Amino acid sequence: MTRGARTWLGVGAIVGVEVFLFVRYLEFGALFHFFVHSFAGAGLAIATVVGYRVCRPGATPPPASQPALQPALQPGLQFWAVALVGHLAAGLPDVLFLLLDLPHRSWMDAFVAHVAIHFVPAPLLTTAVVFVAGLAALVAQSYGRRRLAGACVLATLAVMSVALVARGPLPGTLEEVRATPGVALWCPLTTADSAGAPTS
Amino acid sequence: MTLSAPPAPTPHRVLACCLAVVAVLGVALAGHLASDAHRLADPNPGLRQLDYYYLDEPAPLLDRVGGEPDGRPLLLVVCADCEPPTLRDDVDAEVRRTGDLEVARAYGLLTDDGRIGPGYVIVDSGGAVRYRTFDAALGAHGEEIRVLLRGLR
Repeated sequence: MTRGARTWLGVGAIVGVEVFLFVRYLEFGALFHFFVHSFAGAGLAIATVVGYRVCRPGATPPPASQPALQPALQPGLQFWAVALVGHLAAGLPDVLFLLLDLPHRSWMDAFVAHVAIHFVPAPLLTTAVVFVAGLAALVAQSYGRRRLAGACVLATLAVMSVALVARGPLPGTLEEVRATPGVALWCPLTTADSAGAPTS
Repeated sequence: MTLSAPPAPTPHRVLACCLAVVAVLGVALAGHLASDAHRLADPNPGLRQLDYYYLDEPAPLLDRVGGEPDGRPLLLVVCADCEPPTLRDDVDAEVRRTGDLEVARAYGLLTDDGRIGPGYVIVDSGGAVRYRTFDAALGAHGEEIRVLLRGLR
């Protein structure tokens, strides 16, 4: 198989897996989880690899006289493969749920804070920021802007860390569930038809 | 047929690729935010179909929905008008449906604007509530609910 064919095969595989995951989550009405775990997992994975490449011994910066003309190592398909691995790692508990009939447990936080991440402030927005920051690190590194890449990597890690520290609590009682803004603490005073008879 | 190799990635190409990925995901995300799955989801984002048994207390108001469980886990569907999910034969559980306002409120499935669910509650065979969630399309999510019911064994 030629190198070109392998590359296109790799692209197809990555896109195919992501589309498959998207469709499966869509079937469960769980796209919220798809976005949260893919953004966080992929963003952190890309930032980690970029951070390693920027910081590893022997990585020399481009000459100061020509900062933009000597780009650093050119990222290729491998970064998107890393992003996919990060997504899969973050979403592994969902795979276990379907394949092994295993409801979520606290220990699944080992997979990119799979449970805890749901309770960070504005989880969709926060994880989207993590993802975009990771991509920004990738782009900066491809242009040879090592310091900017490093700053983006740090931003990715900082946003995720602060968000997890600031996360809300997992409710443990129905009273705590009802204390959520948007959930009624009391019955509305307006008359509402109530189908009181239970049906089975 | 030999596939031609894609051009070597240049910084501009990397940027273009990243922008394309962001654009595609952005459109997908916008579609999700406009969907019923988002609009009718739990006001607490953390509890949206979390699939985690975060409750363990006596289930309230069971007398208003047919009494204590009959020795099997109970799936209580809470909605004004919806179809309960179809469960596979390997799930031994009782299914009840209610649109009772007080029941919905007790289980945190009544919103500030008076919307009853749609959502469901899982009660174990001993009468303890173990899980509840809003779910706009619970009728189609029997597979997910099945795992939660079987996990109580």
